[in-house]
Amino acid sequence: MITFALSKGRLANSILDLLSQMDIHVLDVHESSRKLVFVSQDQKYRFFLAKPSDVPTYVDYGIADIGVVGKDTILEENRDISEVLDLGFGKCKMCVCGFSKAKSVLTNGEKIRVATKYPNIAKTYFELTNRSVEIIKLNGSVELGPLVGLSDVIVDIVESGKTLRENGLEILEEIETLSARLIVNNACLKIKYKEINEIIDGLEQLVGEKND
Amino acid sequence: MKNYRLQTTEGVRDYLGDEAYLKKKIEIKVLDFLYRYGYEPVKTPTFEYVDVFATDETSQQPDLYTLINHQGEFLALRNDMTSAIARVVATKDHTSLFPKKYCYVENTFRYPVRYQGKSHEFTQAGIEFIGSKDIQSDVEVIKIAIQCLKSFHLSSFAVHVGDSQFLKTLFQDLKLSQQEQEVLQDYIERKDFVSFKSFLKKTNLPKDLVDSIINLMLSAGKISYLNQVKEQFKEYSCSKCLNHLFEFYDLLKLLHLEQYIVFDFSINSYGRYYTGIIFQIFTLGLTRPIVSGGRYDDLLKEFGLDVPAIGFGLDVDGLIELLKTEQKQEKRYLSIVLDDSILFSEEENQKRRAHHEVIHESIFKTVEETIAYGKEKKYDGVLVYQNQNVTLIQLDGEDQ
Repeated sequence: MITFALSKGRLANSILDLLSQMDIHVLDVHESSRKLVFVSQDQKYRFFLAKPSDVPTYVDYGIADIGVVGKDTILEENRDISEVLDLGFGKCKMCVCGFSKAKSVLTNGEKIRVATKYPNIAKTYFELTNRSVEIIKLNGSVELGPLVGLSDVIVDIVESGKTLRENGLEILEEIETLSARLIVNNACLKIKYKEINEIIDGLEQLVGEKND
Repeated sequence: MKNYRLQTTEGVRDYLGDEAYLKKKIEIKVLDFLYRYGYEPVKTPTFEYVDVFATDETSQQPDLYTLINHQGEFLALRNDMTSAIARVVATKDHTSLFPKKYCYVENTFRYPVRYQGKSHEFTQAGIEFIGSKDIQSDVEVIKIAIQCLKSFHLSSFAVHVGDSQFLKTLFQDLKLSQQEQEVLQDYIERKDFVSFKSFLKKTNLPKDLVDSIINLMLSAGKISYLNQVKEQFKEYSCSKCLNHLFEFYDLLKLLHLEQYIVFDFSINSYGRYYTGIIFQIFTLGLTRPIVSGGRYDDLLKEFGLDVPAIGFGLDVDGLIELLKTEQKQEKRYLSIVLDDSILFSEEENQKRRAHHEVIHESIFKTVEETIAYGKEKKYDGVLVYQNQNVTLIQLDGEDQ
C-alpha cells in the first residue's frame, strides 16, 4: 500500500481530482471535513490530510511514501526528501515586498529588518545575495510589518497581489516561483519504485502538457 | 528554571536493558564478521584536529561538533571514520605493503538540521580497502556488505549500484560549463529533480537526450536496465563507465549475489567525494540506506598519499531498529537459596549461564518477595534452591 500525506485544503482537492482521472477514486473525501484518513476504492492507496508544513516531516520519516505540498513549504522545512514532480497548480511567487521607498534599504548596505512566516527562506535568500538582515518571525498578516513600522520589508507568498495593493505595498524583489510539488521519501523511491513511478508517470502525463 | 542535570542534549539518547545489550551484541558481531575477512580493527580518537575531518576549502564547518583546546587549536568530534583512517594510513602505516584492510565500529557525531528529531550521535560500522584499484576490490567490498546483512538474517534488501563518474562524464561530453555542472550536481544532492528537469529543459540539448537524462534520476533496474542505459548513451564517452559495471555484475553472478543488485544512476549524493562505483543498500522497514559506500581514490591525496581506496559504512542504529522486533529473548531467571545449598546453587547457576540463560541472584529473603519482583521485571521464572535441590517456578503469566 502507498500512503500519501496531503496538504489540507486546496492542494488536497486538486491532487484528488488528478488522481481520479487516473482511476484512483477516494470515497467521501470531498463531503466530510473532519475525517483525516481515507483509503482508495481499490484499497491500494491510503491518504491522510496534514497541516502543509508537516507534510515534508511525514515524508522524511517514511510515515507517508508520497507527499503533496507547496514548494514554499519544501524550502522552509528543508527536509531530506526527493522532489520529483511539479504538479503545476497552486502557482504563486515568493517575494520581498514593502513600500516603494523601502527599495533603498535593500541596496544601501544597512541592516534590513524582515518580517516573515518563512524565516529559513528569507535568511537563505539574503545570505545568498550578501545582505545582512534581522529576521522577525510572524505567524500571520505579515503585511502589517511595514504598515505598523515593525519591519522594513516582508518576505511572503504573492498570488494576485491584491492584499499588497490594498495596503499600498508592492513587490520589490522576486525570490522564486512556487507551485505544488510531489515529494517522495528517499528510501521509498528506491524500495517501492515501480508503484511510485507509476504514479509519477501518470500524474506527469496529466500535468505535463500544462507545464511545457 | 531548567534543571540541566536531569536533561540530555538534543540528538543523543540512552540505551537501557535489552536494547543496550542488543546494541553491544550487534556491534561485536559486526566487528567480528568484518575481522574474519582479514580487515584489521582500528580505533581512533573520538576528537582530533578539525583539519582531519574538514576537507572543504572553507574553515566554517556547521555540521561538525567543534571545540577549542587549551592551546587555542581547533578540534572536532569525528564525523566519519574514513577520514580518520586516511590519517592513520598516511601518517603511521604507509611504509608496509599494500593493500591494507581496516574495519571499525565507532560512534560518530554530526549536527543535522535542528528540530527534525535527527540523531547527532551515530554508531557506524564499516570497512576500508586501501591500495587497490582492481575490480576485485569493488566486488569484495559489496560482497561483504551483502553477506554481513545476510548474517543478520535480513533478506529483503536491494543494493543500488551506480557510478559517480557517469553523470560527471556525460555533462562534460555535452560541453556543459563548469557552473552549469555544479548547479546540476547541487540539484542532485538536494534531490530536487523538479529544478534539475527544468534546468535541463532550458539548455539547448536535444529533447530526447534531456528526457533520457531526467529518466536516469527516477528509474533503476536490473541488468536489462543497464543495457538500456548503455544503448541510450552509446555515442558519449560516459558509456565507458558502464563497462566496469557489466564486468562487476558478471563477477557477482559467479557468487550468486546478482539478484540483490539494482542499477541506479540517481544515487549521487556526496558525488564529489566518490570517484568510481557507488552503492547504497535499502531494506524494507528503514527509511534511509542501511549501508552506503563507494570508491574514493582521491581522498588519501589530501593526506599526502596517492593510493586508491574503497569502503562502506553500515548504520548500526538502523540495524538495531530492524532487529529489535525479531530478536528472540534469552531465558531470564531469578535465583533464591533457602538453606545451606549455596555451593550447589552456585554450580547450577554457572551451568545455566553457560547455556545462555540469565540468572539474577535475588537479595530477597522470601520466595514471595522474589516472585513479586520477578513478575514486575518480567523474568521467566524463579529458581528455588533447597535441600541440595532446585525447583523452578514459572512466571510466564499463564499460571496465575
